[in-house]
Amino acid sequence: MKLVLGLARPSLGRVSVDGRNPASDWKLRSRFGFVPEYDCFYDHMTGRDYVAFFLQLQGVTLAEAGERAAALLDDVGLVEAMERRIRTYSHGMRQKTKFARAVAHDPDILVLDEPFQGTDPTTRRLLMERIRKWASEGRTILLSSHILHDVEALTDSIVFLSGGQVLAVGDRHAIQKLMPHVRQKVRLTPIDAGQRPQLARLLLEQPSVEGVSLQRDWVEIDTSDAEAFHHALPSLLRKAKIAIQAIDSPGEDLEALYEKLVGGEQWEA
Amino acid sequence: MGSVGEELARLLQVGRPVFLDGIRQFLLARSTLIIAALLLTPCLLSGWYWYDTRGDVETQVIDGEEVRTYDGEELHTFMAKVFYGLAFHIYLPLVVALVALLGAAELLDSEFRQKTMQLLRTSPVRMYEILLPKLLAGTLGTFVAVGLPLTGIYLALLVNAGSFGLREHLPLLGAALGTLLLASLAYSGIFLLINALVRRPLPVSLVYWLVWEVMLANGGSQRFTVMHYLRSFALPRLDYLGIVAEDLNLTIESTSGELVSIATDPLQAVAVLLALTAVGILLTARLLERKQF
Repeated sequence: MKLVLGLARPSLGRVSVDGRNPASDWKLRSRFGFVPEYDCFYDHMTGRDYVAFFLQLQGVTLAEAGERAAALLDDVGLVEAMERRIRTYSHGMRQKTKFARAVAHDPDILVLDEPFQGTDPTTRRLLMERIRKWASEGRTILLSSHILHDVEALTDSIVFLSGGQVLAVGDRHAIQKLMPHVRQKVRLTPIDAGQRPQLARLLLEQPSVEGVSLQRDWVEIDTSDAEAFHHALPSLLRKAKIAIQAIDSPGEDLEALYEKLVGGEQWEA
Repeated sequence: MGSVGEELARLLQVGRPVFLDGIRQFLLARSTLIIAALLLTPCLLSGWYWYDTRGDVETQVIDGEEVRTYDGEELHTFMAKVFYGLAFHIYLPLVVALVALLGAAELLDSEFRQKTMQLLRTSPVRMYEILLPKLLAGTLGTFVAVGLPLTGIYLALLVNAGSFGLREHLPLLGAALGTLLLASLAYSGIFLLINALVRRPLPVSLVYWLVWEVMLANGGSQRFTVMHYLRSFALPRLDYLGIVAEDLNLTIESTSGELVSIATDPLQAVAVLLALTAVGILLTARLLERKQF
Protein backbone atom coordinates (compact mmCIF):
# COMPACT_ATOMS: atom_id res chain seq x y z
CA MET A 1 0.00 0.00 0.00
CA LYS A 2 2.86 2.34 0.81
CA LEU A 3 4.34 1.62 -2.61
CA VAL A 4 1.07 2.45 -4.33
CA LEU A 5 0.78 5.66 -2.33
CA GLY A 6 4.39 6.67 -3.02
CA LEU A 7 5.33 6.54 0.65
CA ALA A 8 7.96 3.89 -0.07
CA ARG A 9 10.05 3.05 -3.11
CA PRO A 10 10.35 -0.49 -4.43
CA SER A 11 13.72 -2.18 -3.95
CA LEU A 12 12.95 -4.27 -7.01
CA GLY A 13 10.70 -3.59 -10.00
CA ARG A 14 8.49 -0.55 -10.39
CA VAL A 15 5.10 0.67 -9.28
CA SER A 16 2.93 2.77 -11.54
CA VAL A 17 -0.62 4.04 -11.44
CA ASP A 18 -1.95 4.64 -14.94
CA GLY A 19 1.66 4.66 -16.10
CA ARG A 20 2.69 7.33 -13.60
CA ASN A 21 5.07 6.96 -10.66
CA PRO A 22 3.22 7.72 -7.41
CA ALA A 23 6.47 8.43 -5.55
CA SER A 24 7.45 11.37 -7.75
CA ASP A 25 4.21 12.52 -9.40
CA TRP A 26 2.65 14.76 -6.75
CA LYS A 27 -0.38 15.61 -8.89
CA LEU A 28 -1.30 11.92 -9.05
CA ARG A 29 -1.92 12.00 -5.30
CA SER A 30 -5.21 13.88 -5.77
CA ARG A 31 -6.62 10.59 -7.07
CA PHE A 32 -5.88 8.75 -3.83
CA GLY A 33 -7.92 8.53 -0.67
CA PHE A 34 -5.97 6.90 2.15
CA VAL A 35 -7.23 5.44 5.42
CA PRO A 36 -4.14 4.42 7.39
CA GLU A 37 -4.10 1.65 9.95
CA TYR A 38 -2.68 3.96 12.60
CA ASP A 39 -4.01 7.13 14.20
CA CYS A 40 -2.89 10.19 12.26
CA PHE A 41 -4.70 13.19 13.68
CA TYR A 42 -4.12 16.76 14.64
CA ASP A 43 -5.69 16.11 18.02
CA HIS A 44 -6.15 19.81 18.77
CA MET A 45 -8.46 20.20 15.75
CA THR A 46 -12.16 19.48 15.63
CA GLY A 47 -13.29 16.72 13.27
CA ARG A 48 -14.63 19.33 10.88
CA ASP A 49 -11.43 21.41 10.92
CA TYR A 50 -9.38 18.28 10.31
CA VAL A 51 -11.32 17.20 7.23
CA ALA A 52 -11.48 20.81 5.98
CA PHE A 53 -7.71 21.22 6.49
CA PHE A 54 -6.92 18.36 4.11
CA LEU A 55 -9.60 19.51 1.66
CA GLN A 56 -7.83 22.86 1.44
CA LEU A 57 -4.62 21.02 0.56
CA GLN A 58 -6.60 19.61 -2.38
CA GLY A 59 -7.22 23.17 -3.56
CA VAL A 60 -10.74 23.60 -2.12
CA THR A 61 -11.53 27.06 -0.70
CA LEU A 62 -11.95 27.49 3.05
CA ALA A 63 -15.71 28.10 2.91
CA GLU A 64 -16.38 25.18 0.60
CA ALA A 65 -14.03 22.93 2.58
CA GLY A 66 -15.96 23.66 5.79
CA GLU A 67 -19.30 22.88 4.16
CA ARG A 68 -18.08 19.70 2.49
CA ALA A 69 -16.40 18.51 5.70
CA ALA A 70 -19.64 19.00 7.62
CA ALA A 71 -21.67 17.09 5.00
CA LEU A 72 -19.19 14.19 4.97
CA LEU A 73 -19.03 13.91 8.73
CA ASP A 74 -22.82 14.00 8.79
CA ASP A 75 -22.83 11.14 6.28
CA VAL A 76 -20.74 8.94 8.60
CA GLY A 77 -22.85 9.83 11.64
CA LEU A 78 -20.61 12.41 13.29
CA VAL A 79 -22.86 15.44 12.95
CA GLU A 80 -23.03 16.03 16.70
CA ALA A 81 -19.35 15.44 17.36
CA MET A 82 -17.82 17.32 14.46
CA GLU A 83 -17.25 20.53 16.41
CA ARG A 84 -15.53 18.65 19.22
CA ARG A 85 -11.77 18.22 19.36
CA ILE A 86 -10.54 14.92 17.96
CA ARG A 87 -8.70 14.13 21.19
CA THR A 88 -12.13 13.52 22.77
CA TYR A 89 -13.21 11.02 20.07
CA SER A 90 -13.71 7.29 20.63
CA HIS A 91 -11.92 4.78 18.41
CA GLY A 92 -14.99 4.32 16.20
CA MET A 93 -15.40 8.07 15.76
CA ARG A 94 -11.75 8.36 14.79
CA GLN A 95 -12.16 5.64 12.16
CA LYS A 96 -15.18 7.44 10.73
CA THR A 97 -13.22 10.72 10.66
CA LYS A 98 -10.40 8.98 8.79
CA PHE A 99 -12.93 7.71 6.23
CA ALA A 100 -14.49 11.14 5.83
CA ARG A 101 -11.05 12.69 5.27
CA ALA A 102 -10.09 10.01 2.76
CA VAL A 103 -13.15 10.45 0.52
CA ALA A 104 -13.62 14.20 1.00
CA HIS A 105 -11.92 15.15 -2.28
CA ASP A 106 -13.81 12.48 -4.26
CA PRO A 107 -10.81 10.26 -5.11
CA ASP A 108 -11.13 7.39 -7.56
CA ILE A 109 -8.62 5.13 -5.78
CA LEU A 110 -9.25 4.34 -2.13
CA VAL A 111 -6.51 2.68 -0.11
CA LEU A 112 -7.93 1.30 3.12
CA ASP A 113 -5.47 -0.23 5.57
CA GLU A 114 -7.21 -2.25 8.30
CA PRO A 115 -10.27 0.01 8.12
CA PHE A 116 -12.35 -1.92 10.65
CA GLN A 117 -9.69 -2.37 13.29
CA GLY A 118 -11.11 -1.85 16.76
CA THR A 119 -14.51 -0.68 15.55
CA ASP A 120 -17.81 -1.67 17.15
CA PRO A 121 -20.35 -3.68 15.09
CA THR A 122 -22.47 -0.60 14.29
CA THR A 123 -19.51 1.37 12.97
CA ARG A 124 -18.27 -1.68 11.09
CA ARG A 125 -21.64 -2.11 9.37
CA LEU A 126 -21.78 1.58 8.49
CA LEU A 127 -18.28 1.61 7.06
CA MET A 128 -18.96 -1.55 5.06
CA GLU A 129 -22.06 0.04 3.58
CA ARG A 130 -20.04 3.06 2.56
CA ILE A 131 -17.30 0.91 1.01
CA ARG A 132 -19.90 -0.99 -1.02
CA LYS A 133 -21.44 2.31 -2.12
CA TRP A 134 -18.07 3.72 -3.21
CA ALA A 135 -17.31 0.49 -5.07
CA SER A 136 -20.69 0.68 -6.82
CA GLU A 137 -19.78 4.22 -7.89
CA GLY A 138 -16.87 2.75 -9.84
CA ARG A 139 -13.99 3.59 -7.53
CA THR A 140 -10.99 1.30 -7.18
CA ILE A 141 -10.73 0.09 -3.60
CA LEU A 142 -7.59 -1.51 -2.23
CA LEU A 143 -8.36 -2.92 1.20
CA SER A 144 -6.10 -4.79 3.57
CA SER A 145 -7.39 -6.59 6.61
CA HIS A 146 -6.43 -9.36 8.99
CA ILE A 147 -10.13 -9.95 9.55
CA LEU A 148 -10.75 -12.09 6.47
CA HIS A 149 -14.44 -12.40 7.24
CA ASP A 150 -14.74 -8.67 6.51
CA VAL A 151 -12.79 -9.01 3.29
CA GLU A 152 -15.04 -11.89 2.21
CA ALA A 153 -18.11 -9.80 2.89
CA LEU A 154 -16.84 -7.00 0.67
CA THR A 155 -15.02 -8.46 -2.31
CA ASP A 156 -14.28 -11.47 -4.51
CA SER A 157 -10.95 -10.12 -5.62
CA ILE A 158 -8.36 -11.18 -3.09
CA VAL A 159 -4.57 -11.19 -2.78
CA PHE A 160 -3.18 -13.32 0.03
CA LEU A 161 0.16 -12.07 1.36
CA SER A 162 2.43 -13.65 3.92
CA GLY A 163 5.90 -12.46 4.89
CA GLY A 164 5.91 -10.04 1.95
CA GLN A 165 5.22 -12.84 -0.53
CA VAL A 166 2.09 -13.21 -2.67
CA LEU A 167 0.54 -16.57 -1.79
CA ALA A 168 -2.50 -16.43 -4.04
CA VAL A 169 -4.53 -14.07 -6.22
CA GLY A 170 -8.14 -14.32 -7.36
CA ASP A 171 -11.56 -15.12 -5.96
CA ARG A 172 -12.18 -17.81 -3.38
CA HIS A 173 -12.69 -20.55 -5.94
CA ALA A 174 -9.57 -19.63 -7.88
CA ILE A 175 -7.57 -19.77 -4.69
CA GLN A 176 -9.19 -23.10 -3.77
CA LYS A 177 -8.02 -24.48 -7.12
CA LEU A 178 -4.43 -23.98 -6.01
CA MET A 179 -5.02 -26.85 -3.59
CA PRO A 180 -6.93 -29.40 -5.73
CA HIS A 181 -5.78 -32.37 -3.64
CA VAL A 182 -6.92 -30.81 -0.37
CA ARG A 183 -10.22 -32.27 0.77
CA GLN A 184 -13.16 -29.93 0.85
CA LYS A 185 -16.58 -30.25 2.43
CA VAL A 186 -19.72 -29.20 0.55
CA ARG A 187 -23.09 -28.98 2.29
CA LEU A 188 -26.32 -29.31 0.25
CA THR A 189 -29.66 -28.47 1.86
CA PRO A 190 -32.68 -29.68 -0.18
CA ILE A 191 -35.95 -27.72 0.03
CA ASP A 192 -37.73 -31.00 0.74
CA ALA A 193 -35.83 -32.58 3.64
CA GLY A 194 -37.38 -35.94 2.74
CA GLN A 195 -35.22 -36.07 -0.40
CA ARG A 196 -32.01 -36.19 1.65
CA PRO A 197 -31.51 -40.03 1.43
CA GLN A 198 -32.09 -40.01 -2.33
CA LEU A 199 -29.65 -37.12 -2.69
CA ALA A 200 -27.05 -38.90 -0.55
CA ARG A 201 -27.28 -42.05 -2.71
CA LEU A 202 -26.89 -40.07 -5.93
CA LEU A 203 -23.92 -38.15 -4.58
CA LEU A 204 -22.15 -41.33 -3.50
CA GLU A 205 -22.20 -42.53 -7.12
CA GLN A 206 -20.20 -39.49 -8.24
CA PRO A 207 -16.50 -40.22 -8.87
CA SER A 208 -15.49 -36.86 -7.39
CA VAL A 209 -17.22 -37.64 -4.08
CA GLU A 210 -15.17 -39.46 -1.48
CA GLY A 211 -17.63 -39.58 1.40
CA VAL A 212 -21.23 -38.65 2.23
CA SER A 213 -22.79 -37.85 5.57
CA LEU A 214 -26.54 -37.58 6.10
CA GLN A 215 -27.48 -34.84 8.55
CA ARG A 216 -30.81 -33.66 9.94
CA ASP A 217 -31.36 -30.88 7.38
CA TRP A 218 -28.63 -31.41 4.85
CA VAL A 219 -26.24 -33.78 3.13
CA GLU A 220 -22.50 -33.18 3.47
CA ILE A 221 -19.91 -34.58 1.10
CA ASP A 222 -16.11 -34.78 1.10
CA THR A 223 -14.34 -34.12 -2.19
CA SER A 224 -10.81 -33.44 -3.32
CA ASP A 225 -12.04 -32.32 -6.75
CA ALA A 226 -14.53 -29.61 -5.92
CA GLU A 227 -14.46 -28.19 -9.44
CA ALA A 228 -15.57 -31.50 -11.02
CA PHE A 229 -18.20 -31.92 -8.33
CA HIS A 230 -19.69 -28.46 -8.86
CA HIS A 231 -19.59 -29.00 -12.64
CA ALA A 232 -21.57 -32.26 -12.44
CA LEU A 233 -24.01 -31.17 -9.76
CA PRO A 234 -26.62 -29.12 -11.74
CA SER A 235 -27.44 -31.89 -14.28
CA LEU A 236 -27.53 -34.46 -11.49
CA LEU A 237 -30.05 -32.44 -9.50
CA ARG A 238 -32.11 -31.68 -12.59
CA LYS A 239 -32.37 -35.39 -13.51
CA ALA A 240 -33.34 -36.37 -9.96
CA LYS A 241 -35.73 -33.39 -9.70
CA ILE A 242 -34.25 -32.32 -6.38
CA ALA A 243 -34.58 -28.61 -5.56
CA ILE A 244 -31.78 -27.21 -3.42
CA GLN A 245 -32.23 -24.46 -0.87
CA ALA A 246 -28.56 -23.81 -0.09
CA ILE A 247 -25.07 -24.93 -1.03
CA ASP A 248 -22.15 -23.91 1.14
CA SER A 249 -18.70 -25.02 2.17
CA PRO A 250 -18.36 -25.14 5.95
CA GLY A 251 -14.87 -24.47 7.20
CA GLU A 252 -13.86 -23.26 3.76
CA ASP A 253 -14.01 -19.55 4.39
CA LEU A 254 -11.11 -17.24 3.56
CA GLU A 255 -9.64 -17.68 7.01
CA ALA A 256 -9.39 -21.45 6.48
CA LEU A 257 -8.01 -21.03 2.95
CA TYR A 258 -5.38 -18.61 4.19
CA GLU A 259 -4.31 -20.96 6.95
CA LYS A 260 -3.97 -23.81 4.46
CA LEU A 261 -1.93 -21.67 2.09
CA VAL A 262 0.36 -20.43 4.85
CA GLY A 263 0.68 -24.04 5.99
CA GLY A 264 1.93 -24.92 2.48
CA GLU A 265 -0.88 -27.34 1.64
CA GLN A 266 -0.78 -26.22 -2.00
CA TRP A 267 2.65 -27.88 -2.27
CA GLU A 268 1.61 -31.18 -0.72
CA ALA A 269 0.88 -34.11 -3.00
CA MET B 1 4.73 24.32 -14.07
CA GLY B 2 2.35 27.25 -14.13
CA SER B 3 3.21 30.94 -14.26
CA VAL B 4 4.69 32.69 -11.24
CA GLY B 5 1.28 34.23 -10.50
CA GLU B 6 -0.43 30.83 -10.58
CA GLU B 7 2.26 29.27 -8.41
CA LEU B 8 1.94 32.10 -5.90
CA ALA B 9 -1.84 31.81 -5.82
CA ARG B 10 -1.52 28.08 -5.28
CA LEU B 11 1.04 28.59 -2.53
CA LEU B 12 -1.31 31.01 -0.79
CA GLN B 13 -4.26 28.61 -1.14
CA VAL B 14 -2.40 25.51 0.03
CA GLY B 15 -0.13 27.26 2.52
CA ARG B 16 -2.82 29.23 4.32
CA PRO B 17 -4.22 26.40 6.48
CA VAL B 18 -0.71 25.09 7.22
CA PHE B 19 0.47 28.55 8.29
CA LEU B 20 -2.61 29.34 10.39
CA ASP B 21 -2.53 26.01 12.18
CA GLY B 22 1.24 26.26 12.64
CA ILE B 23 1.14 29.71 14.21
CA ARG B 24 -1.73 28.68 16.48
CA GLN B 25 0.12 25.56 17.58
CA PHE B 26 3.34 27.48 18.11
CA LEU B 27 1.92 30.34 20.16
CA LEU B 28 -0.41 28.17 22.24
CA ALA B 29 2.26 25.56 23.03
CA ARG B 30 2.89 25.34 26.77
CA SER B 31 6.65 25.76 26.28
CA THR B 32 6.16 28.99 24.29
CA LEU B 33 3.82 30.47 26.90
CA ILE B 34 6.15 29.58 29.78
CA ILE B 35 9.20 31.06 28.02
CA ALA B 36 7.30 34.23 27.05
CA ALA B 37 6.18 34.67 30.66
CA LEU B 38 9.75 34.16 31.93
CA LEU B 39 11.01 36.69 29.40
CA LEU B 40 8.77 39.32 30.91
CA THR B 41 10.41 39.09 34.35
CA PRO B 42 12.82 42.01 33.72
CA CYS B 43 9.68 44.21 33.70
CA LEU B 44 9.40 43.49 37.42
CA LEU B 45 12.98 44.68 37.95
CA SER B 46 12.08 47.87 36.14
CA GLY B 47 9.14 48.36 38.49
CA TRP B 48 11.38 47.77 41.46
CA TYR B 49 13.89 50.34 40.09
CA TRP B 50 11.10 52.91 39.67
CA TYR B 51 9.92 52.26 43.26
CA ASP B 52 13.47 52.50 44.65
CA THR B 53 14.42 55.75 42.90
CA ARG B 54 11.05 57.50 42.80
CA GLY B 55 12.03 60.29 45.20
CA ASP B 56 15.47 60.97 43.71
CA VAL B 57 14.67 61.39 40.02
CA GLU B 58 14.89 64.97 38.80
CA THR B 59 13.51 66.50 35.63
CA GLN B 60 15.46 69.02 33.57
CA VAL B 61 14.27 70.82 30.45
CA ILE B 62 16.87 70.46 27.68
CA ASP B 63 16.05 71.86 24.22
CA GLY B 64 12.40 72.00 25.18
CA GLU B 65 12.32 68.31 26.20
CA GLU B 66 11.72 67.08 29.73
CA VAL B 67 14.72 64.89 30.46
CA ARG B 68 14.81 62.88 33.68
CA THR B 69 18.10 62.45 35.53
CA TYR B 70 19.17 60.34 38.44
CA ASP B 71 22.33 61.03 40.36
CA GLY B 72 23.43 63.43 37.60
CA GLU B 73 23.08 60.84 34.81
CA GLU B 74 20.43 61.01 32.09
CA LEU B 75 18.03 58.21 32.97
CA HIS B 76 17.08 57.40 29.34
CA THR B 77 20.71 56.61 28.39
CA PHE B 78 21.10 54.37 31.40
CA MET B 79 17.84 52.56 30.68
CA ALA B 80 18.70 52.21 26.96
CA LYS B 81 22.01 50.56 27.90
CA VAL B 82 20.22 48.17 30.25
CA PHE B 83 17.84 47.30 27.41
CA TYR B 84 20.74 46.90 24.98
CA GLY B 85 22.45 44.50 27.41
CA LEU B 86 19.34 42.42 27.86
CA ALA B 87 18.41 42.36 24.18
CA PHE B 88 21.81 41.85 22.55
CA HIS B 89 23.65 39.82 25.17
CA ILE B 90 20.91 37.61 26.59
CA TYR B 91 17.72 37.49 24.50
CA LEU B 92 19.16 37.47 20.98
CA PRO B 93 22.11 35.11 21.47
CA LEU B 94 20.44 32.74 23.92
CA VAL B 95 16.66 32.90 24.01
CA VAL B 96 15.74 33.27 20.31
CA ALA B 97 17.49 30.06 19.28
CA LEU B 98 15.83 28.18 22.13
CA VAL B 99 12.34 29.40 21.18
CA ALA B 100 12.93 28.71 17.47
CA LEU B 101 14.24 25.26 18.36
CA LEU B 102 11.11 24.37 20.35
CA GLY B 103 8.91 25.94 17.68
CA ALA B 104 10.47 23.91 14.87
CA ALA B 105 9.87 20.73 16.87
CA GLU B 106 6.24 21.76 17.35
CA LEU B 107 5.88 22.47 13.64
CA LEU B 108 7.69 19.56 12.02
CA ASP B 109 8.65 16.87 14.51
CA SER B 110 5.03 16.73 15.67
CA GLU B 111 4.04 15.78 12.10
CA PHE B 112 6.20 12.68 12.44
CA ARG B 113 5.06 11.92 15.99
CA GLN B 114 1.37 12.23 15.02
CA LYS B 115 2.05 10.39 11.74
CA THR B 116 0.32 13.17 9.86
CA MET B 117 3.40 13.54 7.64
CA GLN B 118 2.24 10.43 5.78
CA LEU B 119 -1.07 12.18 5.07
CA LEU B 120 0.72 15.31 3.87
CA ARG B 121 2.92 13.16 1.65
CA THR B 122 -0.16 11.52 0.11
CA SER B 123 -1.78 14.91 -0.53
CA PRO B 124 -1.27 16.61 -3.90
CA VAL B 125 1.18 19.18 -2.60
CA ARG B 126 4.90 19.68 -3.01
CA MET B 127 6.88 19.63 0.20
CA TYR B 128 8.04 23.21 -0.10
CA GLU B 129 4.37 24.24 -0.19
CA ILE B 130 4.11 22.77 3.30
CA LEU B 131 7.53 23.93 4.51
CA LEU B 132 7.34 27.58 3.47
CA PRO B 133 4.20 28.25 5.55
CA LYS B 134 5.79 26.32 8.40
CA LEU B 135 8.91 28.47 8.11
CA LEU B 136 6.75 31.59 8.17
CA ALA B 137 4.83 30.28 11.17
CA GLY B 138 8.11 29.47 12.95
CA THR B 139 9.54 32.90 12.13
CA LEU B 140 6.44 34.82 13.14
CA GLY B 141 5.88 32.64 16.21
CA THR B 142 9.44 33.16 17.44
CA PHE B 143 9.26 36.87 16.61
CA VAL B 144 6.03 37.32 18.55
CA ALA B 145 7.03 35.08 21.48
CA VAL B 146 10.29 36.99 22.03
CA GLY B 147 9.39 40.33 20.45
CA LEU B 148 6.38 41.04 22.62
CA PRO B 149 8.27 40.55 25.91
CA LEU B 150 11.19 42.53 24.46
CA THR B 151 8.87 45.42 23.57
CA GLY B 152 7.29 45.12 27.02
CA ILE B 153 10.72 45.37 28.63
CA TYR B 154 11.59 48.38 26.49
CA LEU B 155 8.40 50.13 27.58
CA ALA B 156 8.84 49.14 31.22
CA LEU B 157 12.46 50.36 31.32
CA LEU B 158 12.20 53.52 29.25
CA VAL B 159 8.97 54.66 30.86
CA ASN B 160 11.19 55.52 33.83
CA ALA B 161 12.75 58.15 31.59
CA GLY B 162 9.38 59.62 30.58
CA SER B 163 7.97 60.16 27.11
CA PHE B 164 11.24 61.67 25.89
CA GLY B 165 13.11 58.49 26.80
CA LEU B 166 10.50 56.30 25.12
CA ARG B 167 10.80 58.25 21.87
CA GLU B 168 14.54 58.82 21.95
CA HIS B 169 15.49 55.14 21.84
CA LEU B 170 12.99 53.80 19.33
CA PRO B 171 15.92 53.10 16.93
CA LEU B 172 17.31 50.76 19.60
CA LEU B 173 13.99 48.91 19.81
CA GLY B 174 13.89 48.83 16.01
CA ALA B 175 17.41 47.37 15.88
CA ALA B 176 16.47 44.70 18.44
CA LEU B 177 13.25 43.75 16.64
CA GLY B 178 14.91 43.79 13.21
CA THR B 179 17.70 41.53 14.43
CA LEU B 180 15.13 39.35 16.15
CA LEU B 181 13.17 38.95 12.90
CA LEU B 182 16.28 37.84 11.02
CA ALA B 183 17.29 35.52 13.88
CA SER B 184 13.80 33.98 13.95
CA LEU B 185 13.94 33.32 10.21
CA ALA B 186 17.45 31.87 10.11
CA TYR B 187 17.10 29.70 13.21
CA SER B 188 13.67 28.43 12.13
CA GLY B 189 15.15 27.37 8.78
CA ILE B 190 18.08 25.59 10.44
CA PHE B 191 15.99 23.84 13.07
CA LEU B 192 13.39 22.70 10.51
CA LEU B 193 16.24 21.09 8.58
CA ILE B 194 17.50 19.34 11.72
CA ASN B 195 13.95 18.10 12.39
CA ALA B 196 13.84 16.54 8.92
CA LEU B 197 17.34 15.08 9.20
CA VAL B 198 17.31 13.23 12.50
CA ARG B 199 14.93 11.19 14.58
CA ARG B 200 15.72 13.02 17.82
CA PRO B 201 15.77 16.63 16.74
CA LEU B 202 15.62 18.30 20.17
CA PRO B 203 18.97 17.04 21.54
CA VAL B 204 20.65 17.45 18.15
CA SER B 205 19.33 21.02 17.85
CA LEU B 206 20.57 21.78 21.37
CA VAL B 207 24.01 20.36 20.54
CA TYR B 208 24.15 22.46 17.34
CA TRP B 209 23.19 25.57 19.25
CA LEU B 210 25.59 25.05 22.17
CA VAL B 211 28.54 23.62 20.25
CA TRP B 212 28.26 25.64 17.07
CA GLU B 213 26.47 28.90 17.78
CA VAL B 214 27.66 29.53 21.35
CA MET B 215 31.19 28.10 21.31
CA LEU B 216 32.16 29.48 17.92
CA ALA B 217 30.55 32.85 18.64
CA ASN B 218 33.87 34.63 19.29
CA GLY B 219 37.03 34.98 17.23
CA GLY B 220 37.50 34.44 13.49
CA SER B 221 35.46 31.23 13.40
CA GLN B 222 32.31 33.21 14.18
CA ARG B 223 31.86 33.83 10.44
CA PHE B 224 30.45 30.30 10.31
CA THR B 225 27.71 31.13 12.78
CA VAL B 226 24.34 32.79 12.37
CA MET B 227 25.16 35.00 15.36
CA HIS B 228 27.96 36.79 13.52
CA TYR B 229 25.63 37.98 10.76
CA LEU B 230 22.97 39.01 13.24
CA ARG B 231 25.46 41.15 15.19
CA SER B 232 26.82 42.58 11.93
CA PHE B 233 23.29 43.59 10.95
CA ALA B 234 22.70 45.24 14.33
CA LEU B 235 26.03 47.04 14.71
CA PRO B 236 25.42 50.19 12.59
CA ARG B 237 21.98 50.59 14.18
CA LEU B 238 23.58 50.76 17.64
CA ASP B 239 26.22 53.24 16.65
CA TYR B 240 24.23 56.20 18.05
CA LEU B 241 24.42 54.63 21.51
CA GLY B 242 28.20 54.39 21.30
CA ILE B 243 28.19 50.64 20.77
CA VAL B 244 31.24 49.48 18.80
CA ALA B 245 32.29 46.18 17.21
CA GLU B 246 34.16 45.15 20.35
CA ASP B 247 30.99 45.41 22.45
CA LEU B 248 29.31 42.87 20.16
CA ASN B 249 32.35 40.55 20.04
CA LEU B 250 32.82 41.38 16.37
CA THR B 251 36.58 41.79 16.68
CA ILE B 252 39.70 39.67 16.45
CA GLU B 253 43.18 40.45 17.68
CA SER B 254 45.61 41.36 14.91
CA THR B 255 49.25 40.22 14.90
CA SER B 256 50.19 43.60 16.37
CA GLY B 257 47.80 43.01 19.26
CA GLU B 258 45.16 45.48 18.14
CA LEU B 259 41.50 44.61 18.02
CA VAL B 260 40.22 44.64 14.44
CA SER B 261 36.55 44.63 13.47
CA ILE B 262 35.44 41.63 11.40
CA ALA B 263 31.84 42.77 11.08
CA THR B 264 30.22 41.89 7.75
CA ASP B 265 28.47 44.59 5.75
CA PRO B 266 24.85 44.69 7.04
CA LEU B 267 23.32 44.11 3.60
CA GLN B 268 25.66 41.20 2.98
CA ALA B 269 24.77 39.85 6.40
CA VAL B 270 21.07 39.91 5.52
CA ALA B 271 21.82 38.24 2.17
CA VAL B 272 23.82 35.48 3.88
CA LEU B 273 21.04 34.84 6.40
CA LEU B 274 18.35 34.74 3.68
CA ALA B 275 20.49 32.43 1.54
CA LEU B 276 21.14 30.16 4.51
CA THR B 277 17.40 29.93 5.23
CA ALA B 278 16.56 29.26 1.58
CA VAL B 279 19.16 26.47 1.36
CA GLY B 280 17.84 25.03 4.64
CA ILE B 281 14.27 24.92 3.35
CA LEU B 282 15.21 23.49 -0.04
CA LEU B 283 17.26 20.73 1.61
CA THR B 284 14.44 20.01 4.07
CA ALA B 285 11.91 19.77 1.22
CA ARG B 286 14.21 17.45 -0.72
CA LEU B 287 14.75 15.22 2.31
CA LEU B 288 11.04 14.99 3.08
CA GLU B 289 10.11 14.26 -0.54
CA ARG B 290 12.53 11.33 -0.57
CA LYS B 291 11.79 10.07 2.92
CA GLN B 292 10.32 6.56 3.04
CA PHE B 293 7.70 5.55 5.56
